[in-house]
Amino acid sequence: MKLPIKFSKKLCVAAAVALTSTAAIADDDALSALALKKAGFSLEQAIEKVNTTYPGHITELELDDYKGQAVYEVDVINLAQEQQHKLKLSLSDGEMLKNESSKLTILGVSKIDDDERLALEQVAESELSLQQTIAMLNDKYQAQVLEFELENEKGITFYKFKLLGQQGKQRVIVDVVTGETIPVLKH
Amino acid sequence: MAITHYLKPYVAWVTGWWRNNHQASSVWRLTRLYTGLLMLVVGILLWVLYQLSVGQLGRSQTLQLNQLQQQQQVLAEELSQADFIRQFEQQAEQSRQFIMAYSDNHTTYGRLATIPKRVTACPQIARFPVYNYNEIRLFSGCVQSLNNGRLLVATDDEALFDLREQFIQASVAALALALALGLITGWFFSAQVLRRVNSINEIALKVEAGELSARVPLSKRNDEFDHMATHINKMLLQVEHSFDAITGVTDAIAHDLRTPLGRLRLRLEQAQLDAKKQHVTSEQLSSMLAELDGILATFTAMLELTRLEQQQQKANFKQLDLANIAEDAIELIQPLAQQRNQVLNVEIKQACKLLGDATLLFRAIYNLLENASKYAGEQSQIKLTVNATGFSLSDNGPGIPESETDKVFQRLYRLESSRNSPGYGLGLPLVRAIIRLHEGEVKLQSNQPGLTVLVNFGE
Repeated sequence: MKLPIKFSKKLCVAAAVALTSTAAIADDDALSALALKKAGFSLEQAIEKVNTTYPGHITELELDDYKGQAVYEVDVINLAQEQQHKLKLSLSDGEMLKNESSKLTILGVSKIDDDERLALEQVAESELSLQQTIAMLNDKYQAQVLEFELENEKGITFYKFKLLGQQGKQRVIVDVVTGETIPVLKH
Repeated sequence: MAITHYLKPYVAWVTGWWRNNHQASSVWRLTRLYTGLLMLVVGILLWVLYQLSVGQLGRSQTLQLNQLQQQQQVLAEELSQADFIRQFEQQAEQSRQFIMAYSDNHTTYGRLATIPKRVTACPQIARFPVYNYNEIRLFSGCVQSLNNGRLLVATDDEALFDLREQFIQASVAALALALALGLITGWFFSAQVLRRVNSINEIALKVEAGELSARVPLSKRNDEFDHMATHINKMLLQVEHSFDAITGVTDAIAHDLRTPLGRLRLRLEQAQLDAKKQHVTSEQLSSMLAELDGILATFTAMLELTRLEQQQQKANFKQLDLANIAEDAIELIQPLAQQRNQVLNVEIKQACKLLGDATLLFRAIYNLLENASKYAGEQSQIKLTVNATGFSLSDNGPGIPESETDKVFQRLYRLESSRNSPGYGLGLPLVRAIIRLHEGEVKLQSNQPGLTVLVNFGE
């Protein structure tokens, strides 16, 4: 499980000050939501830009801070070229702040396991588009996508979205092959 | 699937090997049969075990799931929508093992946020993914259409599936082990059994090639194979003896009949010379006739001996007392013994009753008495004793050396010491043939000095 996004204390303080009016929720996710709301470059735009610049599949997207400014941290894997990119895009203007590219295989050993490879193959075959799915989620749940991750468990490939809306934090799981929402068990 | 792809060459190799070995030796046939049976037994055991454990769990779970669904279906029909939803929410909340969800067209009640589209209609149960505590779990369940919505009942049976997987893995391992064990032990045992059969085959081949002295090796186990080997070896010994006997008889015939035939020839030559002088006497002719009679008698005796040895039917056998026959024989030999100043003693200890041919038995006893009288010498003592199981005849003559006691029973065999006395060496073989026909045994022993002939008809 990924740890919540770690913002620098400075940014936290700044955001907390800005949030004093609606200070009901003051955790990292709320800060992320706020940052997104104020962003000059939306999450959808970021996906669009990454897709056009780096062909491949986004395996993870989350918010982070980099040298004092909020960024989209995006992981892209290109199976055809056996390449992995770790990108950081500025939230304010979408500027590519950092671009780490590396080969998928080092000395014949693959960095990704068979499950991940299978997940990527299924994504490639699937007709589901990431942008459409995000749009559908925003619409259906009236909430903002904060981060997502591509995963494969027990042969099922899915996107794990974290949404924040009026009802609070929500996890939505979407099956890549069928395009269906996998139900979340309530407790 | 990836696994079948990897397995393909192995399967091809195994089937190819199987086909090539199809007509191989019985070692493999037995091994395969044994292994097959072993696998079948293990397979049946595993199947029964599966049905009683994992299968039973699965069946009872399916049953409960269906009962739950039917119960809710009845409630939905009888209660108002609001009451139904109230009781449903309560039950869904309480039930830990079974996950329930109900969706009318607007809201989904129960434990799941949505009802997945792909779940099959009850009672057909399907597996579908559910996200629970940061992981995907596979639930088994079904969807039932109700009047105002859809009902889903499901249960998290991943543990059961894991159990099933483990059971199958363990079963495959057990079967593989059974296969390996079956092949090894089966091959070992079959090879061991067949090695012994093959050793018998090898000996048979050697004998066929003319090596009559070959014998099947014996193990220390004293099992059926050893019994068989013993019988085969006995048979081979008999065959070897017969073979030697035939050779011996041929030699003996050539040797022993040459002398009287040669004599006869000499006499005929003499007669031819005498005939020119026109005085062939009747004594000359009768001695020639006697010579011829002797030769003819030998052949008759040999034929009779053969007939006796081959005779199996005992049609002429009657209940008789050996003592009577012995007395008759003694009476007949008496004059001959008196001529040689020999003392004849008869002792009848007990009557010896048996089924037999009186004429043949008389000949046997008379032959033995005649031999005793002939070879024991002047003034010797001859004693015939009859007891319940047979008789013995002893004399105090020169006897027979230990090494010769077996050979004297061979046809046409004659001791060096008796070469010059009349006879063709058929007396004792004839005696033995008669005794054997009566299921008795004859033995020669030293009387120190002299010879004892022991005849025993057994019980």
